[in-house]
Formats: sequence, C-alpha cells, structure tokens
Amino acid sequence: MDRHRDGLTKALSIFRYNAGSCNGCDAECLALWGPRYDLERLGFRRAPSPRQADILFVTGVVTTRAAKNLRHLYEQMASPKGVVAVGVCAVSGGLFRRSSSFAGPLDALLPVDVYLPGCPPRPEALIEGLTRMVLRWEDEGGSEGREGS
Amino acid sequence: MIFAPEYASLATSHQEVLNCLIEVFGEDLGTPLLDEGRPSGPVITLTVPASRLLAFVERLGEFDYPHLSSVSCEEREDGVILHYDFSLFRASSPGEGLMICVALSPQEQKGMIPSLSGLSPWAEYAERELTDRLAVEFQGLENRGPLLDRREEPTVPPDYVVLPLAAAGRTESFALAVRLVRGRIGSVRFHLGSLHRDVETLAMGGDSFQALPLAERLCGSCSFANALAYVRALEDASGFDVPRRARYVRSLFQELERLSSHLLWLATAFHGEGQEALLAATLALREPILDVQEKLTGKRSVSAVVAIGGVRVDLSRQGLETLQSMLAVTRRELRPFRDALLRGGLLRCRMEHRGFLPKAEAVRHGAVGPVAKASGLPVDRRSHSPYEAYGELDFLPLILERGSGEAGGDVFDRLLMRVMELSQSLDLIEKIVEGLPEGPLLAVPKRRNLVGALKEADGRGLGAVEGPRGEVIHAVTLHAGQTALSSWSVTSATRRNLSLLPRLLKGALLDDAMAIVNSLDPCLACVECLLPLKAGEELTEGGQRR
Repeated sequence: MDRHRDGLTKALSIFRYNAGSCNGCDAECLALWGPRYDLERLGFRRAPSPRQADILFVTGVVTTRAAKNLRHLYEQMASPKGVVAVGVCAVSGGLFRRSSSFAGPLDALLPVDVYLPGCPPRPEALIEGLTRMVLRWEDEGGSEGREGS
Repeated sequence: MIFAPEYASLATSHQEVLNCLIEVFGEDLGTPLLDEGRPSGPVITLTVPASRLLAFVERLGEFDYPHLSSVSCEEREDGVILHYDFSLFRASSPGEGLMICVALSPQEQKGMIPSLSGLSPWAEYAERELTDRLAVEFQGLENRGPLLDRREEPTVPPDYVVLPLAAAGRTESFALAVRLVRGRIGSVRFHLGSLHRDVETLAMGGDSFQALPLAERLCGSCSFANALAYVRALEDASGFDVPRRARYVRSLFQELERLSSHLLWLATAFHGEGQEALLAATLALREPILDVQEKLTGKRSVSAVVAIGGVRVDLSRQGLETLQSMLAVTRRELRPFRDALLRGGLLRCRMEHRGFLPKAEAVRHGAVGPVAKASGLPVDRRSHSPYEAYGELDFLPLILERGSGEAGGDVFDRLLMRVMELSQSLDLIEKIVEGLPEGPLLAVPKRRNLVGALKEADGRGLGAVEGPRGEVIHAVTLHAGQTALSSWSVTSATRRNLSLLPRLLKGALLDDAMAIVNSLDPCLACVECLLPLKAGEELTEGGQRR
C-alpha cells in the first residue's frame, strides 16, 4: 500500500455531499475553511468533485434518493478514501430516523471512518475526527509499507 | 421609506377592507370576521366559493397586489379544506398590515378549483404539490407534473446543461438544468426531492410541543425563524400572552440569526465568484456572532431558544458583554468591507446588470425578503405586522432605489441589500439591548399547565415572521381535547421566491447563471421537507425502514 502512504504526503481533498441535511452541518463544514479553524493549515483542501476527493463528508439524513447518489459518489473516489458521517442525522438518522424518507444510517451504505454526532457538530469536533482518521491511516499505511519493503 | 404610488390603495382601515369585500361579494362570503386582537396581527377570516376565488383575489389586488402568503390544506373527516392566506401590506402604513385568510369549503373540493398561478406564479408549486397529494384538480394550471420525486434521480434531457451548484458553494443538492438557445438560457428545469424528510408526518405522530425540535431543524440557517413561526402559530391558536422580556429576547435572536445567515450567504457568494480572500473575511466576521449565540445558549447554532409562550434562555451579564464586544468588532469590520464592495472592482463587474428583477415583476411574483427589497419593494413583516419587540423598535425596511428613481434589482443590488441589512440588524440589536425590560420569560412556566392550555385550544393558528430570507409562515390546526397537531404547513421564503429562478435565468448567459441562482439564496431544506406522502405511499425499495 505504498499508494496509501504516498497519497498522504499530499494535501487531502474533501468533498461534501448533502444527503438530506437542513444546512446546519453544512454551515459548520464551511466554517472550517474560515480563518479561525482554517483546515488548510492542517493540509486539507476542498475538492470540487468526488473524483478529486480523498475524503467524503456526508451531512444530513440519508434520504432514499441520496442513498443512490452516495454509492455512485463513493465509487467515483479513488482509493485510499475515507468517509465522515457529519452530524447525528448521518450517523443514525437522529430526529428523522422514523421518517419515511430515511434510507438508513450512513454506515449501512458506505464504510464510515469517522462518526461525528451533534446537531451540528462543532468545527473542533470535525477537526479532531479528521486528524484521528489521518493518524490511523498513517499507522496502517506505514506498517503495510514496511512489510512491503 | 418609499411607498410605490402606483400600487397605493383605496382602503384606509381594516373594517373598510372588510366592508368593501362584503359589498362586492355579499352572500358568497361565508362568515366574514375581522379579528383585530390576534397575536399574529389583525386577520380577516372568511370562506369563498371556488367559482368566485379568482374574482376575489383580483378584488384584493385592487387594495394591494395579491400578496399570496401561503397555501395550505387541512384534512378532515368530511373532506379537505384549502386555506389561502393573503397579506395586504402596501394598503396600510407600517404597523397596520392585514392578513386575509380564505378557506375553501369541503363541498367545493369535488368541483374544479381555479388555479392562482396566473395571478401569483409561485402558487404553481403549491398547486402541483396539492394535485400530487390530494388529487385536487386546478383549472388553468399549466405545468402539472409532481413537484418532487423522492425515488428516482431526474433524467435530464441531452440538450440540457446541469449547473454545478455544489462547486459554486451552494450547500443543497438539487438538480438545476438549463437548455441553451443561441448561447443564452432558453428553458430551465429543476428537480426537487432528494432533501425530502417527511417532517409533517413525523410531527403528526407526537404532541404539538414535541414538534418544536422538528420545526427548529427544518432549516439550519433559519432555524430560529422556523421555530419562532411555529411557536407563534401555536400561540395564535391558543392565545398565550408572551411576556415582554421574552419578546425582546426573541427579537434579539432573530437579528443574530439574520446576521449569521447573511454572512454565510455572502461567504457562498464570494466562493462562487472565486473570491477566496473575501470568503475568509466573511467567515471571520461570522464567528463572533456564533460566539454570542454560544455564550447565551451553549450552542453555536440550532440552539433551542424559543419555547411555547416565551423563551428558554435569559441574557446573562456575561452573554451581554460578549454581545457588546461582538457589536463593536462587527461594526468596525463591516464598514471597510461595505466600502470596498461599493467601490467596485471585479466583483461588481461580475454582478452588475445581471439577473435584473424589475419592481413590477417582484410584485407580480410576490417576492419577499432581501430579494424584494433590492428591487425597491418594501415588504417586511417586521414593519408591516410588527411581532415580538419590533413594534417598539421604530423599524422601517430598507429598500434599494437608485438616484433617478429607477429601481435597482440586479445580482449586485441583492448582495448590497444583504450587506445593508447587516448594519441594520446591528442597530436593532443595540436598541433591543438598551430597551430590554425586566420580567418573566415564560407565559406558562409549568409544563402541566402548558399542556392543558394547548389541549383547550381549538382552531387555526398562524405564525408569520421575517426570517433572513423573508417571510416564513407556519399554519397549524389544533382541536380541543387533543395535544396532537391536526395539520401543520410551512411556507418558507424560498418557496415564495422559487418562481423567480426560471424567470431570472431565462435569457441569461451560462456564465452568469450561478451568480443569479445564488443571488436568490435558494435554501431548499425548508421547501422540500413539508410535502407529506400520499396516502398509502410507501418508500421501501433501496431503503431500510427502522
């Protein structure tokens, strides 16, 4: 998995998909790029499309229609890739879990790396989650890399 | 304050409006009633036979333009009742707005109902939704397809171009496709449905006060406006008298939300134009406002401030200190920001003379919020039907008019309008803090008494507020002896402004399309979430029900 490690030496790109959110989590995702939290200083970038992205942010209750989109979006992303469930709606359906539009928690559709409950989660929580995911990748990629050499 | 003379009215008092209507329609109007003492402001309620609905709306248009505020339905055992709520704004001076609530009786549903889409274009969306849901026929409705598809992705015809909304910073996932004719946009299609959460059905399952967290989550950026409108609708139906201090706190949070929502919008607008430095500057301006909300409520946004009959949070001394420092910082930062925008430069070049909305068109479409005000149309709930503390704050809406009397109304004007509203909100917050009265925060502090009072309530309640994007109206129906809601309908500002989207895009260059879409700030979370399922419809494929 050299690619895994090589990929991590570059800036990681994030693509956000609104799967049925109220925009609350999306606003906090946008706040990440402001001067106070400034995710770019930690080596993250925004990707304009899933093909260019390493990390997928999913906000909102996953609705029936969004569920279909999500699979396509995920397949379009190049490996290695990570998925972050942003907000309690994406994690479990939250307040909307009894809704007829609810297609299931995000991890029933995609492998989720980071669960961030909260309505909306704080930007600090988003940063913490991202950092932990990257550190875990580095550990995994590092050990696999050593085995290969 | 400039009132448009060409729409100036004939009627002077609410009673005269009612008398005029009775004179023209006589026996056809069932039980016309003027109620001046409603918490939602003066309201005329009446029923109109379907055959005379169009004539009635045209007559209303003689007082004022037919400002259709909301269309909702209420399902009863004996059939469905359609409610049309109109607002007469211009016919009255500030503080004297009047709502006219028209009900179409159950017997009428069997016949055809005339479509109002010719008089008020946004009615098309409401009527398509009702056609889809209740199988009611609307006479004269041109587009008849369902408004949203919750199952399938839209198939976009090959000659259409899908606009890259996500790349331009919009947070919603909705498909907007345009067809080009000789390089310019000829026709527009948009497909809703992927954000639909079936909130209404969820709310019906519980008690009316349990639906408050749902109302708060209709939209993340106008969460407070929706919660307030919902609570005001309940208060209107059950006649709570909200304490004065609670009214001030509500107004304060309304303005804080306007600040944070407008700044968020500015950030997406700058992002869409590739202005990363301005994006960062705007996000930096927004943080102190979220800090104030956090200090006062414990949460940056969606913070459960409003309660039925009052508010849940008080303004602590520490909170007020944070508020004062936010005011100072934001004022200091906003001025150079606004001056730089006005001086012009690339941004102004990109936005001026694009997506022009003339005042007459804003009137015809019933535009609301900053979009209407940028076109010189002074519609604002805070001045016409002042609610909460706004009656005591000497508030007058800003409108944009150019020096020569020529109204503004392009993309840049809408940006400017929102920036001007930021300063206005800061002024309002200062006034609120100065005039903050002492007193209780809840009309009915005990939960048991509150439930009892809601159980006694019987009838329809309206809650209208001026959210960041314009008028937000919630209508609820309560039945005596029940704590559950009988009906709940939301008409958000974006739903009202949505008909402007195809109107403004037609004839535009593809390059300008994203700027035009963004200038309307189409926040779709609250447009899509209140379209309940058809009876018996079940979504099972592809999804797991838990």
